[in-house]
Amino acid sequence: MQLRLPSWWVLHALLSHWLRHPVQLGTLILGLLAATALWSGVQALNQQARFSYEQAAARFNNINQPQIVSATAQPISELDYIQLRRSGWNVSPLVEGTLSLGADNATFSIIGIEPMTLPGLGEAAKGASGLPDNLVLHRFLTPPWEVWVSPATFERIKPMLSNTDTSGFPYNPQGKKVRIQVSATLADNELITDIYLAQYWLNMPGQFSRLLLERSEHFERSEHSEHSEHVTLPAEPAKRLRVILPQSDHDISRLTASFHLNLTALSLLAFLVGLLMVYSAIHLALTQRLALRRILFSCGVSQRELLAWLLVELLLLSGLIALPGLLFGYWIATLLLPDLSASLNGLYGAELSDKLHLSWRWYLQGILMAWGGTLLAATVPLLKLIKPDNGYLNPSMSSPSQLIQRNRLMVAGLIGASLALLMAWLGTSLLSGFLLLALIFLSAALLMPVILDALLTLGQRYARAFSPDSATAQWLWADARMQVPHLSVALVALLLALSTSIGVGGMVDGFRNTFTGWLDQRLAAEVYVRVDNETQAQQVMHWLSQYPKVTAILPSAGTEIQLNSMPVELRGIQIHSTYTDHWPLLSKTPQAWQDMASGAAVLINEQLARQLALNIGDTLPLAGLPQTDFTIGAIFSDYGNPKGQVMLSLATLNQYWPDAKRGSFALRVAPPDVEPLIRALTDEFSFTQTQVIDQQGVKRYSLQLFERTFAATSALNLLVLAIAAIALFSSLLTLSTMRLSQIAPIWACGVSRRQLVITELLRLLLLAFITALLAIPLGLIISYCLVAVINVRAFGWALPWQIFPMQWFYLTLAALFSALLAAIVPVLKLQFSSPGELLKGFRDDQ
Amino acid sequence: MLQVTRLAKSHQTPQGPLPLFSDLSFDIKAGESVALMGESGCGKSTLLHILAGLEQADKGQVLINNQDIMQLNDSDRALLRRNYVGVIFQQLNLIPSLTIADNLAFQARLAGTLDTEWLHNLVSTLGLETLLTRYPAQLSGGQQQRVAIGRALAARTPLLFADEPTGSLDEANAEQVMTLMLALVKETKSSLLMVTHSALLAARLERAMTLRQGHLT
Amino acid sequence: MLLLLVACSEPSLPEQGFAGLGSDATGFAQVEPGIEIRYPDALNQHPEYRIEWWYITANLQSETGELLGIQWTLFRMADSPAPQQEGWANQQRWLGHVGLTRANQHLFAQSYARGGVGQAGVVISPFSAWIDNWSVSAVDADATDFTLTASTREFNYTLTLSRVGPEVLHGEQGFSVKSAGGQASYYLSLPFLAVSGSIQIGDEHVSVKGDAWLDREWSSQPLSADQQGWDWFSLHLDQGDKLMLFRLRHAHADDYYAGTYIRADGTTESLKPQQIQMRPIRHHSVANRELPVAWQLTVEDFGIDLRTQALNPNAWMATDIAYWEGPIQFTGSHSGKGYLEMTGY
Repeated sequence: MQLRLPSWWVLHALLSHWLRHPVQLGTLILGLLAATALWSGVQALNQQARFSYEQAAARFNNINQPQIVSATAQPISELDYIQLRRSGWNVSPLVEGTLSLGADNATFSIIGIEPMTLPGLGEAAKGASGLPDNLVLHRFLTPPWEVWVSPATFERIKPMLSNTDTSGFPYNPQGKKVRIQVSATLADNELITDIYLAQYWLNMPGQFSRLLLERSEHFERSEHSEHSEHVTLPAEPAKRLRVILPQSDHDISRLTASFHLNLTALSLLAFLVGLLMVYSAIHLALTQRLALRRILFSCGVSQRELLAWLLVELLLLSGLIALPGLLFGYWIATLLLPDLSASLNGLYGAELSDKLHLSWRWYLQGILMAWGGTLLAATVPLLKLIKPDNGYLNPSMSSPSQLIQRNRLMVAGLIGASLALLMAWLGTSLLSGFLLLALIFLSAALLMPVILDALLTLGQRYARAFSPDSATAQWLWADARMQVPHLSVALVALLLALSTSIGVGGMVDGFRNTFTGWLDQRLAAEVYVRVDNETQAQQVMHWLSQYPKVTAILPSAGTEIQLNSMPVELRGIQIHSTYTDHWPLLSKTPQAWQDMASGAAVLINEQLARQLALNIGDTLPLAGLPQTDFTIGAIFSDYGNPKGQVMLSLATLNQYWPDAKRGSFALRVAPPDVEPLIRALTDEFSFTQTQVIDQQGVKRYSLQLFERTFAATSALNLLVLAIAAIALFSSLLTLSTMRLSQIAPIWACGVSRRQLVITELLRLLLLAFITALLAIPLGLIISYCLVAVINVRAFGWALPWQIFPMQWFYLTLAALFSALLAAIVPVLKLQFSSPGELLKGFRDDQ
Repeated sequence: MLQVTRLAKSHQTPQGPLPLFSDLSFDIKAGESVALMGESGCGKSTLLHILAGLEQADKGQVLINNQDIMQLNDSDRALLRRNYVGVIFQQLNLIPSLTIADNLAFQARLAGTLDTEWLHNLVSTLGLETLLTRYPAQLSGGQQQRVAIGRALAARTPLLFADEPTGSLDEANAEQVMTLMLALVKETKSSLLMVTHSALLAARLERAMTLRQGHLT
Repeated sequence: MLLLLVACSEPSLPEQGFAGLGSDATGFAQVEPGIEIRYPDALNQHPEYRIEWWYITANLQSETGELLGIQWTLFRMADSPAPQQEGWANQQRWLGHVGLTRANQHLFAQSYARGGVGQAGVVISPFSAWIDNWSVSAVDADATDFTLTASTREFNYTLTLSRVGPEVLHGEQGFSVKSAGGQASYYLSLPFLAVSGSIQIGDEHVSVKGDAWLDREWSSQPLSADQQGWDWFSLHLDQGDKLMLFRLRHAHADDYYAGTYIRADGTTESLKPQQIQMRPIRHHSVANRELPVAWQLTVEDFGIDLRTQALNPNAWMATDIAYWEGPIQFTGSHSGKGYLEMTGY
């Protein structure tokens, strides 16, 4: 197609429309802005998370990498290290510990590295090893040495730097101040320094905490064991050292995938709600330019040319709007990042850096989404422009074309609903779960105008039956019906937003109820202690046995294995009434606990049961040995755990997995003794707050984590609702210009403007109310899909489906309130319109 | 029925107020039919709107049934319109969301004066029987104007204002609609003020006034 | 011969010579003429000087006649001239490079170490130099026979080096001038080393024999600031003579040439800059650079006019500080084999 230069004037003519209709332009801008911002904001979060996972995987002190640790209670000696190096082992030493600094004895992790042997060293690899790019090795290794901290940590240590007494920052071995360097790439509360300084400050001369091995296929973990047979340590150090091979690299990404998919789905919904606004703006702008189209045709512009210019116009506008949309997206991401990183850290142990790192892909993706979305929203209006039918010009509900359109909507909606049913029946994957949700939304959106019209017709009939002579009542209903085609897009947006709120809100509240009850059952012991190593475990055990007020000491140990190449935790517990009376079981064999005690049975969590399609009474082969085929005695609920878990008796675990680490103790004491016990333990072993924690503390932490996990969800939810309100507002504002000529005859017949205003408001509230009523069943369906389909497929646990009528009530109020807000400007416009404006309609246009 | 005293109105234009008329006084008696003539833009439609309480005058007095509509607020003026005044405009007289039947009965229902027998009579006289369940958008211009007349007359208001009621119709339709309207006005004994620039039409009414340079002759 | 260090320290600035070798040397012992250099003491480390290296190259042949080359290098660099500190505070840094070149394969590895903890170092009586499990050790206190070994993921070798001729001092009794401005290093070579041993490349075992050349060089500031790199040759002439030639390329001045002609009996002639002509005759593209992999070397006064070609023109050492180092063969007035090192391209 040929675009001659003069046809720029076509674009000019097309664009001039928007300037004359700022409300339409505003609708287009707001819709696209909201769509782009929410989509790209969430994508920024996802990309940030991915970036952080990659960073963490490559980080020098990442726990999940091939490494050598001490097999004894003693740290690793320098001699063993040198011997390994001289045997050709590419290892790098790490010294780790905590330092209490300053007047308030704040604790910091100190990490001493040996940068010259750090795996992946070299100028190119520096960023990848997690070391700051601007670290100069020469300065790092030479007096007065350097300590690298994050900006937040720097703020904490800054006051100490000027102190010269013991509350000051420690000096180097030469008695001089060290250089402090700040880098945003580091984690908070960490002091990164050379191994020399770390050994000196931690008083660990000639000792290391662990040795890092180079990441390579050589040190990939084999399917069933964390010890690889072909990695053999030299004979002498082998007595004191142990090689630990990592879980496969992508555990974190795999575990968090569902989490990110959930976020993406929600942002996609927000995107679509925004697009509804874009659609209505484009639709209206094209309708109003039908006259212009006629003129352009008569001036010799071809249909194709016009279409091309309309596309150019749309891409131009949407491209321009997408840019600030990306800025907003960035801003939203910044706001949501703290909660997101807290919950990812709590759930999966994934660290997110607090600074957004966005690649060019993010920008490109944002713009492409804006374009794609605009084109999608413009498809129907553009098709109608090519083949305008009469109904398009004549928006009366009963015209034959309107009826045809209504029937079409109904058929499409019913097809969508049948597909959804089919999907619910046949789908198994998480993606098909989201597809199911999408189909539900789609068919609801298609059927909504039809249902709304039917309800209003019914209302009209009742109004006539009850007050046959009330002209205003009839007009109220009749006009509501007539407005449906104009408002349906905005009302559909409201319906989707409300039902999402009901669905997600119901899921979250139901989850909260379940989770709280579950925590009460699960956390039956009063105090929990986590120890660092076996030596400490023994010391704690011994100390506790001397402490008279402890009525039960319940040690547990754990290790991790791979089942079907997924990480699975093994947890050994000492069977006690604390567990047998309280542990939240979903289903059990009669003898579950006894069988577990005898070593014949294990308990598995719901996640594992679903993953491997196991049920009670089935056999679970662990570690591939005949004696490690266990019967499944019971299945327990295990919310928030991304991994499968197997619980066995401590004796069984120790028997078959001697490497299992004794990690924690559950202690039973009388409630008044909790405080003194914690204090005594802390004094004795200098435990941190996270190492000794009482039941209330764990619950508080868990619930806090729960809230932060759904903070992003709620925020997105609220934003979707806000977009829907804005969509309603802009539709009403657009409609208000048209309204005057429709209202004028009523006014002329003797209905005062005040009464008109009240009727207009009432009508809108009626529409919003019906929408809210329709949103409730839809929301319940969605909530059911979330708890029974999406949660199961995303996280591996099902939740009881609960309903919360008070939520519906509040959301209905919210719907009415947003309708009221949306109506204020148009209604005020009516109230203060001059009679002249009302009369305009009666005059001949010419 | 209608008493107008020293009525003044000017239009606001960017160049300042442009007086349409500054001192108009006339009466219309009950049952009287009067034509209001004048050139385009002389202000005859504005005058009609003021008399119907749809627009505000600057000065003067308009008494309808001995109430000065200039002194009423918006709600009371609406009430007065509802009970005493029927208006027929050149176009777009109808409520698009209501059926023809509901449109016809609308003002009468508002005023609480719906007389179904009379409405029947009107419908058959105006030949609207087959159109009652339709919507305004489905009607031709002539049909719409007939409905408009029907609606205005259905309420049996003592005063009827018509602003070129046949202005947007072709000649044959115009003649038919006009004949019907005049016959029905006679039957209701309402007073009629009709704006027109057809001398032929004006001649069919009892009296004619011409608005020229702000004065009635 | 020479190479770098500071590898992992500041990036090299253009005006500091290749790999920062031209940096300031205040506080370190300076290289002066007239110092007596004794063997085998010269093999020991000289921590009072800023940098030094142990550099072994060998031209080898397998039982099937395949030609191979190996390289083994240990560099030492001091961060500061202060007395040697204990443990991790030690200011010495060590860097090892090993390479293996075949006609169609070039493998290499590098390793870093800090002094003071024993991961790398050099001792004498008997001599041993090592970093991790790469080492060269004299079998006896006189340092006549050596065991050379290196092991990487891709290859490893264990070779026996036997002295079949005397050590050689370059320049003025080992005082080797490196620029017209007077920068210099102490430079000793063992060009007469017979080699035998075995190499493993992947699962392939190869028994080899051949000739090696060991260089010892130490200094505090061997390069002038605008020298950008060098081209260095160590040549084994088939009739038994040896030849060492190098050219230091200046950014803003004429290149500096030097060399030593070594007769089969070990007597030497230092070559004056104007006696040497080195002319690239073919360039090859490797690692996005153009490198002269074939040369014409002329020393008219000694009747030498050679054309060299590389066994494998892709012998690029893509280590943190990268350079070209590989075995070569030559024909012309004489035929033979040797090693070529090209830096700063």
